[in-house]
Amino acid sequence: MLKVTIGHSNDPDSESAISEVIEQCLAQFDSDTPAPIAALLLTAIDFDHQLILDRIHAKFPNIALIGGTTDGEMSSKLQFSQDSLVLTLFYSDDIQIQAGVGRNLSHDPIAGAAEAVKHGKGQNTETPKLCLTIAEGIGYDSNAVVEGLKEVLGDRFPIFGGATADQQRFKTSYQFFGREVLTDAVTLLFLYGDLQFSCGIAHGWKPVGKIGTLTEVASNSVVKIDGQSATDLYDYYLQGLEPSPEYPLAIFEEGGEFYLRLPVGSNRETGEINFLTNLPINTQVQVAFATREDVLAATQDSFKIAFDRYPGAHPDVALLFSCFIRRQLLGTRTQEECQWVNKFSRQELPFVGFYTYGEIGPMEIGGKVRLHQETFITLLLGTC
Amino acid sequence: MNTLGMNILDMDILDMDITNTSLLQRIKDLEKENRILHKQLQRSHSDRVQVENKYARDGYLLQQIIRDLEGSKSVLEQRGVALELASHDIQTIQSKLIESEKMSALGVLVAEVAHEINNPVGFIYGNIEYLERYINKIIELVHLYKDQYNPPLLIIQDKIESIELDFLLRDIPKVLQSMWIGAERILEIVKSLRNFSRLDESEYRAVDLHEGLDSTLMILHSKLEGDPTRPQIEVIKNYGMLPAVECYSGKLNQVFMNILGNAIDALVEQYDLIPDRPSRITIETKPQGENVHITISDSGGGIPEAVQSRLFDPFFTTKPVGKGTGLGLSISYQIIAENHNGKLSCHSTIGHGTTFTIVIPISQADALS
Repeated sequence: MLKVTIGHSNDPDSESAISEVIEQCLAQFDSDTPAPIAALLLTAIDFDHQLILDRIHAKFPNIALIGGTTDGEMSSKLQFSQDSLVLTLFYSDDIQIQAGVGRNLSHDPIAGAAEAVKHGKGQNTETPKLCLTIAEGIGYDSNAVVEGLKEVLGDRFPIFGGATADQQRFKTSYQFFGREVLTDAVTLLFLYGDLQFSCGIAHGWKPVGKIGTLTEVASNSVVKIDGQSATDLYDYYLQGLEPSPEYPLAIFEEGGEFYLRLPVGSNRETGEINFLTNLPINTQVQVAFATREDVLAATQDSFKIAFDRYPGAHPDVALLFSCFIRRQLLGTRTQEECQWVNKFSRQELPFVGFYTYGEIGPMEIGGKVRLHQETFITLLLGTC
Repeated sequence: MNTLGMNILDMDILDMDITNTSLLQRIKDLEKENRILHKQLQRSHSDRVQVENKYARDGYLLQQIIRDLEGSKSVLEQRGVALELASHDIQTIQSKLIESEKMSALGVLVAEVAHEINNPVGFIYGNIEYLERYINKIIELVHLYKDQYNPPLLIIQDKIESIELDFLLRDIPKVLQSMWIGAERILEIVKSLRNFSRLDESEYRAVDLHEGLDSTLMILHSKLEGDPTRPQIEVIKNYGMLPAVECYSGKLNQVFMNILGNAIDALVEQYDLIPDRPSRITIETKPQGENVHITISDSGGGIPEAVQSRLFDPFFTTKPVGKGTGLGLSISYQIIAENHNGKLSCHSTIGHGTTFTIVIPISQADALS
């Protein structure tokens, strides 16, 4: 049995919001419910995060809690909301959940990931079934922390999660671990036991226009495309307007498959474009474009794939990780992304999720895990 | 005042407490609502800026994509036209190659048939002489019988009359003569065909070019002859004293065939337009220094200048579809220039006919040195 209770408040006042959220969670308790074993906390950037964690700790002192700041929150309680706070409590008598944390990612993301895994496993010698992770999304190559987790857990170990966000200020985002408000850290939950799960990933963007080759890259910046300033490619289409994440670069792999990387700024003097991750040199790229219909169609695809592939009878909870650019592009239609859950579930299914600076997951269970951007990931969890 | 064990003052306080509690809750709710609205207001401004920026970017992006697509469209249209032309050319080339392949196969077939016919015709031609000699002796014997057994027996008399012996004896020499002529003609044709079809020679051989020319004329004999619709084409041979010329004679014959065939076609075409003009082909040969010159002229209508410049281009033809491959003169040019280190040129004046001149070295070894 895996049960979740979800509290969700859009009250901007931290004290009021956490009180309301805890109250909502407690209201869903019944006499048969065991004590919660883990918690996922997702909040907007402007809250008093320490106060919130203290309040949770006071109520649930030994809970394995991870979480972070986001660019928008969603849950079955309040649907999509910005500037809100969502607390999800996990209950189970046969699923075991352990939390871990790794720090100083900007110094050494690989070591940080290894530290988190080691911490998360603790003395447990069993192999976990799944890893849920919330990692820093700013200030380093966030792709590297995923590679670090893969290095320890294996290329095809199921890792799902998202990178924390700061409402597109691109300055500081926070991760939560127990009572700690962290930055530059990766937190994770290992789930053990007889767990059933499936996933679906889709984005909806299509490459358009000129194809170029990345001829010079430096850290998280693309310096030259086809030997010309990287900004030239975007200027050609945007007439000098700043490269924007709604127009990501499609990075082509062998076989014509592509993934997306979103620009978050540029340096007009050097002609560089900044990204949230490193980009591979000598790969072909193309500016990509999507309409709101494309984006929403991809969301449906993600749900459909996940529900079609779910191995059990019915999942107990859906975890959703969606790129912050999807929210920005969808605007007032953002609500529609999470509204599809119950259509595909065919019955009330609790769900919780957030808008991220990077989505983490494999294309299918058993596939290679990757840090995605511009995607919508549906993760269905259950025990039957 | 006491009402149901509670005084009126107590009731007022209770009511006030309830009212205060609900008011407090109401205030609390309104404060929360106010905070949310305030936050949403802050949001709405930044969201509006984002939407405006996105709108501007989308506009530029779509404009540029439309421009690119228009450019691509016109490039694609041009490519479409070019591909259509190329496709047409390929179809033409394909049909011409098939035609050319057929002609090549036909050449091989002709050579093989000529070879196969040569021996049996040789038997016939070789035995006619004996046959004539034997028949003459038999005729002599018949005459002797007629002289010595005169009158013959009645049964013999009847037989002489029924077989028309006198007619037979007069006609047999004529039959033999026509057999001679027929066999000689077959031999000549076979010789010409074999001579013409020397396609597989891999080395130069010194040959009499006149033989090649005559063989080609022999093969074209039926085309040169007149028919009820046009007169015979006159062939004037001004052969000079040529030495044996080192060449691939089969290939050279192919050149003669192409040029003479074109000349005949030109004369036929011209006769349809101007019947009064004489239909004549003149072949001249002469040695000149280290080379021999062969000129083949026709009295046809001539070739327009625009056509002359493309005469040796592969697949260029002015003949109707199915009539010409457009390869004849280009292959001829290749045979003369590349295989024989010679020159093939054309001079033509509208209304005065066309002359093709072939110049090839007498000795290929000398030409190369």
